[in-house]
Amino acid sequence: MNRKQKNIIILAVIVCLLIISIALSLAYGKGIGMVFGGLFADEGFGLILRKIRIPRTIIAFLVGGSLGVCGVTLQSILRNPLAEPYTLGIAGGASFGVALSTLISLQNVLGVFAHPLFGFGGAMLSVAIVFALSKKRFFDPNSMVLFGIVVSLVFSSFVFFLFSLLDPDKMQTTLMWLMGDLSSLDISFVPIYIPMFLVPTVILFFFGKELDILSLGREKAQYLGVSPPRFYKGLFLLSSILAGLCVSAAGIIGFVGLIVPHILRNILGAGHTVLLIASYIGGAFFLILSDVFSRYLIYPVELPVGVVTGILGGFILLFLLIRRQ
Amino acid sequence: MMENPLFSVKNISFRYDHHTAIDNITFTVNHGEFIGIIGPNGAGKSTIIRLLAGFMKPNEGFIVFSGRNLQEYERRELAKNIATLPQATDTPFSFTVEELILMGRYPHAQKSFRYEKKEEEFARYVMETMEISHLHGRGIDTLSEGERQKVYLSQCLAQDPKALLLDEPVSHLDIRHQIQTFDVLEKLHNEGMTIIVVLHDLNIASEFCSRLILVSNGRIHADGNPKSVLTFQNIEKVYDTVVIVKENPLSGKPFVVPVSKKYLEKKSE
Repeated sequence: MNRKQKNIIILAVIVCLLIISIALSLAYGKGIGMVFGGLFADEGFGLILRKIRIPRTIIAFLVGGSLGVCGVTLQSILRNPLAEPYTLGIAGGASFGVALSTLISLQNVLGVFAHPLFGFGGAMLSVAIVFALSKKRFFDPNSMVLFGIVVSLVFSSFVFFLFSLLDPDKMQTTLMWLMGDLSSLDISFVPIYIPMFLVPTVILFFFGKELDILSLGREKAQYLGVSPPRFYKGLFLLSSILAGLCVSAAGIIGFVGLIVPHILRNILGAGHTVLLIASYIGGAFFLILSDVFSRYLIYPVELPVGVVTGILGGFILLFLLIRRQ
Repeated sequence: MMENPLFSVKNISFRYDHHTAIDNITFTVNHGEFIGIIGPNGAGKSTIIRLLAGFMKPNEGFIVFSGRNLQEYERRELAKNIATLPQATDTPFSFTVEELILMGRYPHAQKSFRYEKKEEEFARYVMETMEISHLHGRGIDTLSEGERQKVYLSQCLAQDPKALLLDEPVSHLDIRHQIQTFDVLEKLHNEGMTIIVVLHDLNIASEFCSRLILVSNGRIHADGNPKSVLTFQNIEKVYDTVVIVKENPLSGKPFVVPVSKKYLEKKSE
């Protein structure tokens, strides 16, 4: 069996896992039969399915997949298998935006749009700052990471400052959001989010060859015909927009962008064309499954999904690291 | 009829911030030459390679490659003509040998999702000529230092270039792999490839290169065949080290032995 055939089988397995996780997410406690029946029913489970479970599963799919793709992209550009989608300071900026919107009670004006809009805005603000700072360094990946860390830290400090001004009731919802939360997004977002998420993802899928070469470092990449400043800028921007969208939809969900590419790289090899697609499917599977856990692990209390991915992902990563030694 | 030179370097200077790395250098490289760039640490050898490869632009002067200013070339087009092996090429990921060599086909390949059949065939052909076909499915991180160097050299050859630039390709290899690497380069040279290589080992430079450029403080101190460049006067001046230069009995090329201080002191007693 050659490598191509092996990869096709592995991809098929991941797709099956994804389908199983989707079925679990939609049908948990009811059975698949009820899902097909419920799709067209006007009451009871049909309503829950259409208003809650399906939109939530779609968002988990989009966010999980995008985090996987962002992780792969940034890991290649930064030549660091431990890079995360939030590496460029996105988490700090987004948290700041959300805390700010809560403080000035924007929910009263913007309603359900307040958190996602300000989360995305904050994420893009931090990316803009990192880009502005990196311009003089020709978008050198290492300085971008450093700037990202600093920007994120500064924003995080501001978040704590804002927290000290918030009244405790409001803090609760903001904290939930910060921990990564798929439950509070309004379903009216779903049709807007689908194209917004898919466009940058599909574009990134076409840069597998370039990501392969960029992982050899700036100088070698240039000698092989990939012009680094242009690609660094473009790829950073696309993955930052995607990561910003993820944060705006579901808060800060750690480990998906780290562990999914890590595992798949071990199974499928390093080639980015396959890895990008596999990480999309794998990320979607991992987040949907984590979301199922978050809903039913200590039922009826719901955990923030970021807590589940953190614990699950953390233990898996630890296991992998120990086994390697 | 005089053929156009491959590289024509005219009065180039290059500065890093305030330090002048290259100071008004002029030389030409003809088709099929095998040039060794030698000189002490910090003399500007690697900078010359990076300027010739188009990684950096000279602050003054210009470089003409195949009749056109180097700056006018588009990246991919340049990569079809010049392949460069920088000092330490590495990746954190476990690419297979085949994948790495296919990356060398990037400038020739269509902008598409995957590499086409004909690119894969070219990569296979390169692996055969470099005698690394048996490694094709191995991860680069599982290979020895010598094998790895061969893979990255094959990647350069997959670019099917006119000129090959190498920056200290053998410094970290044992003598067996050093000689193996240079035997390959010599074979390429005999097939018409233009090669420019930065070297620390003066004896390898003497043995394999048809022309040596001795660089010191960002300037060319000597330029010519090994016999005319590797004189003890030149070397002692540039390296500030006493040497004995003999003739290699096999090749008739100069052979350099550095002399330790302890023998000099004995002599003067």
